[in-house]
Amino acid sequence: MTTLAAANRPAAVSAEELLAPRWAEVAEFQPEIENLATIWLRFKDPALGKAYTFQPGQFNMLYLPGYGEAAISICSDAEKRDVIGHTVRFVGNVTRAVSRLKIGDPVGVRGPFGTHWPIEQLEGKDIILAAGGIGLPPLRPVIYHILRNRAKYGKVILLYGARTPADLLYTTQFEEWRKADIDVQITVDRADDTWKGQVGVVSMLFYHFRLDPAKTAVMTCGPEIMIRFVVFEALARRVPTERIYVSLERNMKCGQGSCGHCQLGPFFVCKDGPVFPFSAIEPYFNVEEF
Amino acid sequence: MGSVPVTASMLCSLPIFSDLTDKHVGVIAAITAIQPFQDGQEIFHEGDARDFLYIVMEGRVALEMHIPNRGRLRILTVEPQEVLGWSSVSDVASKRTVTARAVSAGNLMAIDAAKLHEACEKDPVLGYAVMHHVANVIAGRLLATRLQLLDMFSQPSSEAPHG
Amino acid sequence: MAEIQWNVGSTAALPKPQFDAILARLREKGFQTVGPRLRDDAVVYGPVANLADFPQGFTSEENAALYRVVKSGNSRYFDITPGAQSWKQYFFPPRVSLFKARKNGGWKMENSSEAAPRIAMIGVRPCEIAAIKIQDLAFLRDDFTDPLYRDRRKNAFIVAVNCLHPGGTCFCASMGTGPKASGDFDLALTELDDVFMLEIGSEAGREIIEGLPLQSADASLKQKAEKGLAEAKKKMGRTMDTGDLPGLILKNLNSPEWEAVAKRCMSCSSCTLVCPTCFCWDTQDHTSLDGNETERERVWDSCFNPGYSYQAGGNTRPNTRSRYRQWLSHKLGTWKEQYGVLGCVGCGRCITWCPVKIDITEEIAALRKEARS
Repeated sequence: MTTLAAANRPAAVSAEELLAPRWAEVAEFQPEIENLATIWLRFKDPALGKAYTFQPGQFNMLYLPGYGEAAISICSDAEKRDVIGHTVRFVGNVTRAVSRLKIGDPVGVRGPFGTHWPIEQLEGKDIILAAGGIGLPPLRPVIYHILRNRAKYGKVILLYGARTPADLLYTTQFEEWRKADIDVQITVDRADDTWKGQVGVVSMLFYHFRLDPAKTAVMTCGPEIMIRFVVFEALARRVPTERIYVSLERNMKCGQGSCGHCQLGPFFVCKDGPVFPFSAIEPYFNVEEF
Repeated sequence: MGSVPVTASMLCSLPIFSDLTDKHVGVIAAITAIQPFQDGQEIFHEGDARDFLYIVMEGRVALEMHIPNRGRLRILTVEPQEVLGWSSVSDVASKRTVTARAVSAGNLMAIDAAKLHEACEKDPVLGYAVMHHVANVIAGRLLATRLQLLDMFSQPSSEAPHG
Repeated sequence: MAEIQWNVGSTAALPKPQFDAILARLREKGFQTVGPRLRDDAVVYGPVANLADFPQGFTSEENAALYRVVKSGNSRYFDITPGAQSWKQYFFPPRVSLFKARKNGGWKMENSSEAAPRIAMIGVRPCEIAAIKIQDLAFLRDDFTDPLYRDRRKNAFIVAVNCLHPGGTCFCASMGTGPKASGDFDLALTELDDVFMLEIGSEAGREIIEGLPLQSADASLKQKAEKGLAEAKKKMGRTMDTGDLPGLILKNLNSPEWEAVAKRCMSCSSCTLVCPTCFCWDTQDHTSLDGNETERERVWDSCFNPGYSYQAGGNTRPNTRSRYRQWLSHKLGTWKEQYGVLGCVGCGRCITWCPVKIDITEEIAALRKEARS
């Protein structure tokens, strides 16, 4: 049973390290949109900070002492690791505790966990990144990689959709990405008449360009219903299922494929995912309530 | 607004006309004109007669509906090479169902709907080809509308049940 | 009489009164000796000091939602099959501390310094050994080893007992896990009337019995044991045809059978509690009122619990139908892809202890029948 190549698996870490969090502190608290912020963490032990590496698409279990843990994707540049960025939406007990963090507050970190976007294996390909809502943060590390290695990739298109213009993330970075020859196409589900951009669901953006299925890879992240229709459009355009990568979310507790909560069929989303080639999960993804 | 007549060769490059015969393309070219538009210009209003079937060539047109107390809501935007105003070839909507407002400058191809209807009646082969394409446009809009209805980015409801 | 050299792999005959010596030696070595006991008319696992503590003269009746301990009419100790408890509670405790942290300026971690107990498990059934091996696959992996499980597991001593009297819900023969233990034990017993046939399974086992007055197992004794085990294989309370697993389940994830079983299932999670291979767990964080001390515990969890698959925005398995399907399609389906073996050892506990008589062997048969229709 392989989802992504063994090379994409996280390196084994000692078990003791995996069960107990390592301490970091809040270096910066960056509000983004309503009910959502990016927190930047720095490990308290500089040696740990130096040794910590991650790949685009991986996540950390962030521990708020007294509240519990939440699985949050890493949203920052994998080559700039003095601080690690996590974009967090405040929806439950733990994440609401995140919303109250101040600079210097302690946060426990376990990770990084999970498989990553195989962007280094896709050199020479045209890359379509399709993100919806809070699905953009896990893809942003891929964008940083592409910016650093632009010549290694063909056409790069970012399709990004959110509910309303006020829900768009990282808007100040779009210009920089466009300047690096990334075709950034933005759409919202609904808008008022001050919005000059596109209105419509993100999967329909596929109708606005042509792709060559022989050299295209799609990476998508967002609500599962959105992923379903992005995959639908990619398949309609004959992108092979092995080159459509999706990032899934399930209830995660341990992060290491041990506690069972995050299973989708035979896969533990925390260790066999969260990034999967669609070919691997195809038998299970569309089974309702599986 | 000035409009510019259209030649068959201009139409051939559009996907909606890609599998029409040259003869049919010529029939449509004769009843089509190019209409430029300005940013903010209203192309048609909800309730208007459905006089033209449009194809956006350049620029972006937003579809809006006005809701009392809530104002104008943008429900969809139409991009280059997409059809605008399918109601003109459907009997379901006897008037325009939305307002179309340009959000940039650009131009449209405007096909005279009444004359198109006549041409299709006379030549069922042309009629089938046109309706086929329009059916696809409407199907695509239906899917898009359903997905928008799902409100897939709505904020989730709060707490986990204990345990 | 010259002392016989016993080797790993050989079988001796142990007079029953000598059994206590084994327990005593294990305790001398620092093991806690644990075995089946009778309490409140049921078999539970608890401390055993000598043979007298075992349920002599009893056997048990099992069927769907039925469990009864009854007198066997003979004086054997191991005619009785396991009760609701399984051995997983020793390697994978129902509640255990993962870490404590104390706030004093910054947060300081205090790892629990309790040494893992050394448990000598007396009376482990072949199906239970198979279950332990299955949990080993889940907890002791190349990419991650659970230190709590590892430390308890490596310290354990296993005395297996082969089954001559399978229970009313047993189907180890169908699953290839019994009624005879084929390995992974330190010592294995087959109980005859006067002696235990004692198979030495490891160097640790050989050491424990060194110098004890064992007798060589003569041919007639060996034959009796073998005959008894062969007959036991045919006396199983249940059978399960596994030939088309896991495909049968994975190709029928939308079968109407799931709806049918969901009408009966109460999502009570009893099956997962008694199952010796179920390994799902949850974490609970407990914080003092002043917020200066916090502890995280690991506790058993079940895929039948509503919170199990909850995440912000909803529950991916919001009803009993999807949860029962998850349990069965994991146990006899996707488990194979995850660990190379099916997750069920045929112990029958889930059948005995389901309050509404859902029988896993019947559910598989029903799924098969529906798939073929």
